[in-house]
Amino acid sequence: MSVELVGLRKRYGRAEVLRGLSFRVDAGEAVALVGPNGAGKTTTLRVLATLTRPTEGTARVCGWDVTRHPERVRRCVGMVAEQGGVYGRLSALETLHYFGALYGLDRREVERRAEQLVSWLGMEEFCRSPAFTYSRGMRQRVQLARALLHDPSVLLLDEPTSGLDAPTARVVREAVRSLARQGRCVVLATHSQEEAQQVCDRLVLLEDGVVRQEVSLCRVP
Amino acid sequence: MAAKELVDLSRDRRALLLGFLVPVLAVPVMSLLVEGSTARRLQSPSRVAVAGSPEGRELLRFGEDLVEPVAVGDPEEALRSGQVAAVVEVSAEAGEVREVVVRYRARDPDGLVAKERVAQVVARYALPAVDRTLRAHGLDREALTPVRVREEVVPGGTGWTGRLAPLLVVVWGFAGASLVAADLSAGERERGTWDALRSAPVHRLALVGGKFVACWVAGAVLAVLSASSQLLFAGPGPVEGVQLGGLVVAALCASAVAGSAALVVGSLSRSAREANQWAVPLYLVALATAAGADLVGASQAAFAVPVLNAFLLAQRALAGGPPEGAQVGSAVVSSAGVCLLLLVAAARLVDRD
Repeated sequence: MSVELVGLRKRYGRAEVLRGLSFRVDAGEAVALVGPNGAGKTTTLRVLATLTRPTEGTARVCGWDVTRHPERVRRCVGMVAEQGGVYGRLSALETLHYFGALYGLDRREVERRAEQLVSWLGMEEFCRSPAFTYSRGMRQRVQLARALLHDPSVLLLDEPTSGLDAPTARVVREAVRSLARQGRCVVLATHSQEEAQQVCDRLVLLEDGVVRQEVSLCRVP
Repeated sequence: MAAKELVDLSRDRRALLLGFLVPVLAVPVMSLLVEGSTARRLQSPSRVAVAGSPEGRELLRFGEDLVEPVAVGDPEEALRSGQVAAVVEVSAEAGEVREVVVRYRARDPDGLVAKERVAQVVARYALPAVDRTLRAHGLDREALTPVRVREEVVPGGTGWTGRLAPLLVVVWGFAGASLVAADLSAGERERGTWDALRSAPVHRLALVGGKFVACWVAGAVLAVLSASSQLLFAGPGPVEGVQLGGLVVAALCASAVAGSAALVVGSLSRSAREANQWAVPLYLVALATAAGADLVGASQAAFAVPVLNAFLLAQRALAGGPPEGAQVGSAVVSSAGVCLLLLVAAARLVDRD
């Protein structure tokens, strides 16, 4: 499996955000974490992306424990955060080259991947302009391209269509769906059950930091 | 990472404009204005009020080029309000001045100048009487002054503004490095790019190190430019090669400590604004350390104290002679050591929740 959480707990001071969370996601599967605000969706993604350490329990990504082998986990994960930003004075292409260097990709590989992603996500028109001129939708596409640059096996998306207009949201959803079909493991946090049904194979309903229900979407009427 | 940060910084026109115009142009211009204003005040006669015997006005006629008598209703009130720099109270007997009391405000530079000038006026007034007394005893003035003092003025010196240059190295080295550090650490968190960066498989020390290089370069460039500009426009003239070398080493030492300390502060802050607020005590400590240089002196041990050593290196470089090798070595090693410790601390804070 690509992602496995067992008895995951996370406390911030006295507040316990995750209370023994357990689920797994296989390669080629798109799973939506659905729940109200404070259910623990974003914290779960942050643990999987090694941005925060679990207090108890284990989380494995591509077989690597997020606490013991964070650098190996980072190599196989691509993350798009809800409040994520872009470097305003860099263009989309410059951002991709920067992250390519951080991921240790050689220049030719970065150019090849960047060209593919720019074309796939429809970024040709603006990819050379500085990002402070971008709309919310353009920025979200840059983030998605940045997360996919190193060809990760696991894609973590936190409210990827939040604040986007309908056509741009559709582009992002189609991209996510396509990524799962390519064999990647996609974990998507969303408020919208409609979006989850369009994009994902399975819903994991979170409430107060625990899994209340797991629903395979082929069984949803 | 360092290259990206420097490219990013070079495209920030507002930061470049403010960051370079203020230290490179505004500060020297302000220094020139202050120095010009001070010189003008020193050249014009001191305003003094006369109290007591009417012989006081007669006395002040001996120094019309030095003091200007001002008619006021209440001399004490005029002194308190700053209308005059000093009050001269004269006691006289049989038409001869016997005692002069000069009253001035303790912390008023104009008062100190006025006091010295009144003393000169009194000496001029008293000179004929002294000569008469000496002649009555068969002596002359030459007999009482066996040692002569002759003044010869040669070109050079840095002036008051030039003496500010070592302080500017510390101030702008700190300001440049810490402002950039706040933007590259807490600013990234505020703009939402921090998590993307942290999710990349980059060793935390490399991540912090890349940002440090950008802060270091920015602080050092700003410090050298501001000190050179100060010397060029408001000091003795263009900086020579040896002086520039000393300034660069001093600026690198100051901005290395500032940049690494500000990265620690930035890692603990939620926004660039918060980081800058926390950096204010850092500035004050740096300024106090540099300002205390005259108290501790330029001993070998002083060159091992971060920040102070930057000030001393700049001071030594601008005094005309290059610093000794041991002093430079001590400054570089101590600054690098502190910087490394702070960078390790900043790297550990990268993964803080």
